[in-house]
Amino acid sequence: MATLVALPRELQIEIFSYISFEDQVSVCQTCSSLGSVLLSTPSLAEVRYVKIRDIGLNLGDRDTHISQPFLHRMLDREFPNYETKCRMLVYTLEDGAKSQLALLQGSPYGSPEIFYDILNNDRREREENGELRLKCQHHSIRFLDIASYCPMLHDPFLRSFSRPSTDEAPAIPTAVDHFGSTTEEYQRTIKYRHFINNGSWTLYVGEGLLPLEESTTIGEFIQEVMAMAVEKASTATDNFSSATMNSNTVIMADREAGTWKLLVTMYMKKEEGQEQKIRWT
Amino acid sequence: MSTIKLLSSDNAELAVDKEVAERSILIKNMLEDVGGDMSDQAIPIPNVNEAVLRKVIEWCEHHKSDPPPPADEDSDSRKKSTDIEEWDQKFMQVDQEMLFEIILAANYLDIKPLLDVGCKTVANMIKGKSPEEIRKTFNIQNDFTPEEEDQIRRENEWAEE
Repeated sequence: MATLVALPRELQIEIFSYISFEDQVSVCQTCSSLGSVLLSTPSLAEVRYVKIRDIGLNLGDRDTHISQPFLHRMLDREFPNYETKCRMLVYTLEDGAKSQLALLQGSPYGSPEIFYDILNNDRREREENGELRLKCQHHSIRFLDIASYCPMLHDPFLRSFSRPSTDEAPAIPTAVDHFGSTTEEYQRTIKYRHFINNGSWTLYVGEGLLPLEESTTIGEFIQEVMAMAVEKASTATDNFSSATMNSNTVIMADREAGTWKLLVTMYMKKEEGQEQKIRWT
Repeated sequence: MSTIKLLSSDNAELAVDKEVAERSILIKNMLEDVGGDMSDQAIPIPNVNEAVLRKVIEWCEHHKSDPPPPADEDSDSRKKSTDIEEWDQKFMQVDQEMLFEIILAANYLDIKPLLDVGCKTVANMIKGKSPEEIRKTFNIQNDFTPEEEDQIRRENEWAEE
């Protein structure tokens, strides 16, 4: 019997050439064979990447010499911050528990009185009578439901494609051209900041540098960020007393020439009789 | 207008206008190879049964006057549209087995526009669905390892709390 899984690979590729990045994420979590088709076909990979200079990340003069000019769309969730004009990079930490992420509470872009409804892509504000009322649609808020077994997490964070560029970018230089010749300079770093939200305000905890090599995968990146976030959280347990019910991580790219600064905001899920903990395995 | 005969994999002989049959590049090339004269002999189509062949012929008849697709069509997948014209949408309202058989037949017979319509139809069936919904839609067996399945189970338990 003819089925999607039983189709010849070239026909599966033809079908998948019509689906979006978000649909690719879903398909590659259905079964390993379809995931393999998606992830091992170079032409299908292009949908998963966005040109760095197209998303508002300002890398200063390095921008024109970057050796891996495409960033994975998993870290570009098209959530514009209207003040800084940069984009919010979002990864849903809760591993498939999308229903639990119905409200993004008290984010740096709102307050406990303003709620981003992730499932319905809208913003609601609390009225005087306590009810939440729809204020505006945020079509750009599109969260992904990604399990930690998702094969796409093995995609590299940065990538280049051989197809000709539409702009007048110079020839792609070597990594040494881009990062410099010393060991320290050779690694790109992600500067992250860690905040803890307690429901009414956001506590700045600290910041650090995350080494990012050109081979770093999305999964490695997220695990690394989470490991650092957990470490920071363990030193600030007093601040978890009124953590929000929902739990997710928001990573925001900041505009800073020469570096990629990521804002990591952590929301803790509060469980009765248990310590607050981050659900990441 | 000349007519030719096609022989399906289940030995059904179907008469079809040559112009219609030539929507298939495979058949067109075969006819060119034999000098265009196949009036006495049925062309065997061994990979396509009668029901599917009739559907493919129906599509070819409707689209017999369509201009040929451009040879150097833009292959940039990011620019591909999943729009399907109304007649084709109705044509593709078939059960899933027939849908995939049409895709296979279009591929075998080298009818690119029909292949495109079939693939777009499947892509539209995927659009906006969760992994579980896609599994249900296409009857896909979840073949992730027990450890991975266990993780899914734990996640679901948490979601139901």
